[in-house]
Amino acid sequence: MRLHASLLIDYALGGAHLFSYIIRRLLITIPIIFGVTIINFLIINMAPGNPVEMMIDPNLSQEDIEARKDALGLNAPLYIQYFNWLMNLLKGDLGFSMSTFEPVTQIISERLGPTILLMGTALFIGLLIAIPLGIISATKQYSKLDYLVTGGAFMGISIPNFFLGLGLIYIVSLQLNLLPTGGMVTLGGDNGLTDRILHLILPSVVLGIGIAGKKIRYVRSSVLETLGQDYLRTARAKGLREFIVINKHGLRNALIPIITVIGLEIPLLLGGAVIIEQIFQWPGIGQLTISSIMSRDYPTLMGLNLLAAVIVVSANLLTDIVYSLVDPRIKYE
Amino acid sequence: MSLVNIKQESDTSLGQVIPIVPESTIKEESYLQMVVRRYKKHKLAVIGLFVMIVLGLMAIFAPLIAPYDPYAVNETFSAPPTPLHWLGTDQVGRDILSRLIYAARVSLMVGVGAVAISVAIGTILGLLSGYYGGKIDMVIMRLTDVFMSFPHLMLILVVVSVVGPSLTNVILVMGLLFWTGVARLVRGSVLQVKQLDYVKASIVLGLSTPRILFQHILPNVIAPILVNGTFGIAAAIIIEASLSFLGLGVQPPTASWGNMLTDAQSLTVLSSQPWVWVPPGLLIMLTVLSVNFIGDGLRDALDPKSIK
Amino acid sequence: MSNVTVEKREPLITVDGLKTYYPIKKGILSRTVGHVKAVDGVSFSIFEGETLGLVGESGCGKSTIGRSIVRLENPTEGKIIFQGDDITGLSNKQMSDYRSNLQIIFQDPFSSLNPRKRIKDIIAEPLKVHQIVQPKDIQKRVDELLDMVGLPKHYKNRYPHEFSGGQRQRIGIARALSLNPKLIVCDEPVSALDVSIQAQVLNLLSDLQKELNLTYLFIAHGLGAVKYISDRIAVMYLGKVVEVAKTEDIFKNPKHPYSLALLNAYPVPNPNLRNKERIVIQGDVPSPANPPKGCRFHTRCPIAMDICRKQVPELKGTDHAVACFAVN
Repeated sequence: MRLHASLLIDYALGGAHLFSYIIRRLLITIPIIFGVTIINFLIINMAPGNPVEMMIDPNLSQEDIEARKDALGLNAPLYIQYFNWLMNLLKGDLGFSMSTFEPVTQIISERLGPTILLMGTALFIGLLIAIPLGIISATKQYSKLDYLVTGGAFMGISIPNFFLGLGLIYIVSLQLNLLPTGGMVTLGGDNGLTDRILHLILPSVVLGIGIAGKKIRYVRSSVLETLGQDYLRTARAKGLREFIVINKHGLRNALIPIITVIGLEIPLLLGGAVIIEQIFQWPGIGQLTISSIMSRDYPTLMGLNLLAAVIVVSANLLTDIVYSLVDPRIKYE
Repeated sequence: MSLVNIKQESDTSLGQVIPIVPESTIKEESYLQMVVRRYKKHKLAVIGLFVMIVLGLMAIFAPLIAPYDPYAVNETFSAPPTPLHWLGTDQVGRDILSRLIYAARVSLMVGVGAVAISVAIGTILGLLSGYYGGKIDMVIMRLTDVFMSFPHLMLILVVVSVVGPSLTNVILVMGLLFWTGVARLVRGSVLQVKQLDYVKASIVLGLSTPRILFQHILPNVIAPILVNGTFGIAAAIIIEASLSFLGLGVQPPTASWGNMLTDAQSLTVLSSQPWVWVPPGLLIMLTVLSVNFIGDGLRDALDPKSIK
Repeated sequence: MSNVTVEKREPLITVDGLKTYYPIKKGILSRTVGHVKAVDGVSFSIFEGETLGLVGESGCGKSTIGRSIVRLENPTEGKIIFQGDDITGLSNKQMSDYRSNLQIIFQDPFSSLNPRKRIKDIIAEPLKVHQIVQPKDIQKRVDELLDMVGLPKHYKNRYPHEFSGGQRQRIGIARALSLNPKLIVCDEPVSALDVSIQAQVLNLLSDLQKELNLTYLFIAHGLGAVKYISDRIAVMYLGKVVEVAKTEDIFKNPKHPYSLALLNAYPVPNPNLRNKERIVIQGDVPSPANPPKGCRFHTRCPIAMDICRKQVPELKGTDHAVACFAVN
């Protein structure tokens, strides 16, 4: 096929191509979400108790509960139960917590904010560390600094984040008394911004270090690949600051792939959040997960699981779309 | 390939004249030998391998090395390191050093077990998906999409809490979750290799599909599987440690480096008994670091882009 | 449908009205919006013991035809008849009976051998699978095959990466010969080799043909490559055959304007014999997804007439067939 002809067409229909790409991505996402709900439903079924039964408001009177049970067809075959459960889901009903009897959706939405704050800050810190270090490491390739940074990155990905968290609490909070040991605010405190920030630092740094460890090497190889030897020779000759000034454009291209990788971090962040929130008593959905497990609160657990999957799918979708917008080399077909 | 002493010899039945290189100047290096040679260039990777071998031996010969029975309760509890107990004792009174040594078994079993299962499943599905394409490919890929949509740790937590925490369950759940990454990787490699002429030649020569898959495609696809598997071991060890730390993995009294850190969630233990939680944490880090180094070394050794 | 009556006998293989179209998919739902017409109605026959050269520019469909014959590609329309049997629509299982008779040699010596296997295993494998010889005689046969292609026996324990391009092609030939085939499709077997090695490999192929009574479909993109080894030559352009004739006739008396142009591009050593008038073709090759109406060549033909734009010329002629309105 003649290259120039199709490129011209591509250019003219650029908008149309992008649109159809987005539509196609969305269409693929729908069966994935369905698959996610099916798996979720199957997992619930492995737990004691009936998933549909969990949907019934335990605050109702016994007669009403029996009536709802009949209406929901508890003895119906599995796929009908799944369908009922799905219908409830689409109405925004995730059932009721078995420990607090509150609606699951309410419980989760209360806890969502702190987790997003934590994850966002962690991501920010992680990139703040990784990008400059990665660039430095790339420009001063094979120097002592490079080995130091790479070594640090290796440590970052090899240390279990709960160990790092405990260690930092030990050193910074207990020994040095610099930062609080946990919670989002000081009990009985002024709830002010400084207080909140102080509480935010340690947990987000722990998560951030984990992210940075992975990303440093990624940034390094991306910069090395995109910029090529000439640019890097400039860096060694003229120094890093001038290098950044001269090569802003090249650096931008080198950093574009980072966007995709941010999206990929989200599932790992969610996992990390579970542990860190537990250690630091951070009132987010991570801690909620642990407490739900401990109290065998399956409805809440299932709701959390589903939410996590939806977040991941959305993050992937957004990442793909943003990437296709930003990278002109991507073919939409 | 260097040519030394090119001799012209009429050597064939058709009377053809071709240059012949004397046997002694060419070394037959098999693929395996080449990989080993390139691996040895990475000092860190070699050190990592050495460390893992030591840890492995420690795990195997635990009963011979450990000073005490890891389950045995002694008179002193929460005791700091003494000549009797080199690393002190835990809350219940068990010798920490012995537990540390035995816990190596857990980590290694988890790492190897989970990866073995996931590689087995993932390789087969990836081969089928990549070679046959079409509907099979679509179904398998959608399946991996769905599984990959759950954050790993959360899904493992949820499933383990539903089926009950134990070492076997942890290994099984991880194995049944990690296969997706392997399958994708294998599929990608198969798609590349499928195009090559020697695969097409196999078809024209009438070789059977299983033979083509396992003798021609798989050996050329193994490199990324090995690298991914190695990093997978590191990930599995960390996940097991995290689970056990939360109390949802290996249950006490069985010792796991992870569950040896559970007590440290209390600020008293954290601040006043560092001998309880620092050694297991360090060991986890050492193990994972070594495995990561090995993986890195393997990746470079197997990378076809930097041949010789 | 044979174009040349050299002798009154049945051809070894006949290709009849072969069409291979690849769908082009576009849009949200991947609708088929058109087809790449790689091969658009090709017919020829090859007789036992002869070599048919198939020449044309890149993208004209010659490789597709070669691969279709060994059933690496599936034709969209048309027939392939081998020794009287229609092998076009056969399943993989049904094809296994014919596989040993139809072999192929590939262009790229660096991807045609499995880098993980030793030479002796590469050649022994088909022998084992098809049980050509007794297991105890396999290595002996491997030695014989290596000898036939001019490689010393002691090379067989080596790996492909230890050999040069020319040697790898020889190994590929040995592998193809292992099944005692009747027909070998040679898909540009020397294009990737150094010029000095090309001659050696061509000689080898020629000698093997005489000794084993092989039949070749020799695919190349230049007339020079096929001249030496072909008995007859078929010239292809954009999915269709435009001229078929005996080798000497094509060179002495090319009739189709495209063949003439190809010939002019072929360097002639003797300066006195060089053609003073050169036919220079204008433009680039059109896309096989959207071939010109009428005669495919009319957009670049220096003698194109009105009828060429409207109707497709038929391949006419017995000994020397041409598809051109100007000639016929």
